[in-house]
Amino acid sequence: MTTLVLGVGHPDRGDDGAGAIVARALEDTEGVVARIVSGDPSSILTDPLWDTAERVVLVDTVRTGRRPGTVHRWSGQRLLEHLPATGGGTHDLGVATTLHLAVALARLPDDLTVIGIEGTSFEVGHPPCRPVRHAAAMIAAALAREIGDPEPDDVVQVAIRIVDLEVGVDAEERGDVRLGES
Amino acid sequence: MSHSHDRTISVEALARVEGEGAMHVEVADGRVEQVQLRIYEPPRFFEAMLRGRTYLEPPDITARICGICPVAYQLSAINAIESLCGIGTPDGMPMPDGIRQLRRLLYCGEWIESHVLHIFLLHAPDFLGYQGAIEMAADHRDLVEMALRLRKAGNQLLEVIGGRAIHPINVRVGGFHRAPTRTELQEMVPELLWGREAAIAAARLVAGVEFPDLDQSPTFASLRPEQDSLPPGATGYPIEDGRLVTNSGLDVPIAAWPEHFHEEHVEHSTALHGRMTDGGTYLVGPAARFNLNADRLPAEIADLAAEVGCAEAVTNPFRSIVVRAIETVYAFDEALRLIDAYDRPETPAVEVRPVAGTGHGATEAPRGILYHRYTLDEEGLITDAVIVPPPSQNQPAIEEDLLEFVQAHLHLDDDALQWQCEQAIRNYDPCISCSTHFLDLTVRRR
Repeated sequence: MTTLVLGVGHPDRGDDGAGAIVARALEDTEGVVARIVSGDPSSILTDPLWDTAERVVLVDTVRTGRRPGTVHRWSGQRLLEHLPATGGGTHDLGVATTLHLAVALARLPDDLTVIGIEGTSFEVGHPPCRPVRHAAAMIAAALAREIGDPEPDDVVQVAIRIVDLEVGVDAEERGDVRLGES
Repeated sequence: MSHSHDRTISVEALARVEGEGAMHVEVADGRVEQVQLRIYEPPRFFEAMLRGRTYLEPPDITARICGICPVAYQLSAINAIESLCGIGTPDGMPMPDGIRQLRRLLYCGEWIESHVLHIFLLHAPDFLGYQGAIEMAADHRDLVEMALRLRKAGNQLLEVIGGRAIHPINVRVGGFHRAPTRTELQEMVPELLWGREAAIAAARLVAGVEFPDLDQSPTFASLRPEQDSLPPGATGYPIEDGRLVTNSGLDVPIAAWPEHFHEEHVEHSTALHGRMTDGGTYLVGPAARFNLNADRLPAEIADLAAEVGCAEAVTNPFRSIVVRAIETVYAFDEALRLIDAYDRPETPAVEVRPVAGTGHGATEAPRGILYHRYTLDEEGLITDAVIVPPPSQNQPAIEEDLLEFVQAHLHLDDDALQWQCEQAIRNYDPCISCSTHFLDLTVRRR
């Protein structure tokens, strides 16, 4: 069984980097193909695994006005109710519009989960804020458990290492993560 | 009120364009008095950010201005700096053919990605009667699937040469960090061959839609490569360099830009407005490029252009979608030619030493001429930077076009007029993020 994990967002734009952290934390997990989607989200429709993976998980930063780090999880029939299409700009179509386009093309995966991590700051060259980093690490671990990784804690460690060493965040900044369900 | 002689129409947010802005129309006694594109997206201060940086940094910094035309920013910056530092100039160090080929090939990828997105996913819904790409996809699934595959082909070029599709990281002053092998480029040929045929079919398809009447004869400006500078087999349709030409007879080197063009502040927009130094408006972009360089298309593509109704200059902005399709065919065709001719350079980059002074560079971004100017001190630090993106140059001309267009369509109610205005604006594929730098519409009818 293959799970396609799509981490949407730019790694170098503050909280927008949450999806990339999740994807990178899971890239060595058996049964997972993890990709970072830092450009036009509609490119996911040209990924062969979009149509063939048994499961697709898309992780992106969202803004609904809730506390940073709050995790939203949407799946099943109601998924698109939470993600209205925006029509897109000249640069890209956006995640929600891409998913609606997939429906129109009859190519929405049967098993699709969209995880949104509430973010607030998207400044270029900055790491995600602490609650967002921790939410990303915890989501990576939770997904590893769901996928059946025998050592999901390792995924947490990978996520923390990415945050600490590569994003450049001090370990002392870590704190609790709030997990919410929408 | 929709049909009174005095009327104000406001479009509060335009769909399928990039950035944030509004359109305001004032109508009094049945006459359109004013049309304003009100750009309120905050200025981005990239020019100020560049001051104090080294001459090697603009390609990576300015690429961040735009997610869909980063190559344009990179290569315009590089052209400006290299021309100042004596690289590729008539009396300077020659640029190896392989590096020139890779730069143009990279740019083909950007044209393909940008043009295909605009033609099929942003503009085609207007002509086929849909609110957007999603509604269109339900009835035209094959068309949308084709568009996605065409874009992927463009992205592949960007990834193989540039290192990644968005904000390529393999581009540097002097060349590239790594030159791809001939084999790496050859692996893309089958998909590019498919893309060329698919793009030809697409050009025929978009040429068959019904275009609203609008005939404009603005000053068109574009680049035009010097005939003498063309490598064997190249026809010289402008992409990554050229002289500055207009249909009013201007034909000067890029360094003469400040003598003929300038930018000015207007109260209703955070984006600067580009004008000719005589105060006149002008248009850059696919129609300008095509009208000034149709003779530079390969014969087969020139024949296609004639077949799809572009045998002569294109003066109806609504037909710009056809020109973009023709240019998409050209980008695939040119990519194939470049790969066939590719001569991998012995070193991926030449050394560029800083020279104090001012350098000018321009390339043809998908939306038109992108001009950069940098002044360096003796140590190669930037003391001044000027970036003039295509949307800024086009805004005054778009306002003029819209004034005439709205006047001719005042019989429409406000909703219908707004829809038509949005469609008209999309003809120019404006990118407000670049120009600051789109659309809320207000029409005030008094």
